[in-house]
Amino acid sequence: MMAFAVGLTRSWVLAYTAGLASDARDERRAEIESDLWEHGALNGSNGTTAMEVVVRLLFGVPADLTWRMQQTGRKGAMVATLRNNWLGLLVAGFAGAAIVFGTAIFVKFVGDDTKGTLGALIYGVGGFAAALVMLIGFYVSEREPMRGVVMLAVGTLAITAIYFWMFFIYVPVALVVIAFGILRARKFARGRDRLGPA
Amino acid sequence: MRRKQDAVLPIELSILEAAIELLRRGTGEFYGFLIAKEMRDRDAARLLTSHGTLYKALDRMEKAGLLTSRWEDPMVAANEGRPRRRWYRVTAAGEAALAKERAPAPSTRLEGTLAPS
Repeated sequence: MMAFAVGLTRSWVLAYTAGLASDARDERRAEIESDLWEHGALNGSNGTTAMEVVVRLLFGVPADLTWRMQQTGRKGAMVATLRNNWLGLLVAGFAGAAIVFGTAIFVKFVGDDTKGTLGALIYGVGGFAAALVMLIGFYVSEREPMRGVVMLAVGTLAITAIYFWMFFIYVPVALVVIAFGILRARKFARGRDRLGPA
Repeated sequence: MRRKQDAVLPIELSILEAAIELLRRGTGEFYGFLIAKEMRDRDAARLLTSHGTLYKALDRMEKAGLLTSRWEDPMVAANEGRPRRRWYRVTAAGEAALAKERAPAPSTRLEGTLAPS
């Protein structure tokens, strides 16, 4: 379990630091590596420590993403994209609700023998990952319409499947997001075709 | 939310307070996990501060001049069989920022002055 938590954290750090300037990238990776080691050395590599590592990872994702945007200077662009687009707000709300909901369930399930670790991972990590895929898909759909809309649809459908008992809210909103996401991507694709290759 | 110039965020205040407490106990420098543990113990919190929140705050504080940092000698870490630590230290500006935040608000002092004796 501890190996899984450490592997998950390392994978996430590798992902959000990828493509950054070598100083920022290497320093962040080394700091997290040190933190993971200290955490395991102090508390032991038991299930509770592993869960604590995953919770620290999940709660830190928004800060990791904003830190990355600061490093790349894209924070303003991302905020502007969301602010000027009602679909962006809907996507942010949908993904944000999944993140908050998933994290709350994850924290509640940690240490709960009846629900167990598997439930915590599916609802917490699964919901979180799906929400991230959805947000990234929306963001990249302006530059890469096809890839972006596929990611948007996959993330949206995954969230709907994970929280299937809330289908009466998620299904209609998911259909709206996917349909308008496709229309938006087609608009960007047409615009790109008109402009021709760079 | 846009940050005000020179404003110290709650997480930064918490880091400064924990660091000063460590300093009082003879630990002049700290690394990420140590300060996270100290903050949890001080606040009697259930969880440690998340990786993202903690290291983003430390990065921001260093850029703002509230902290300085240095990487540990790789040989020291290798001899102890662990990854290198990044050691942080509170600067004079960091101590001043903490003192400023702890100082009572001007309105409080005014009320105190005007209060009947």
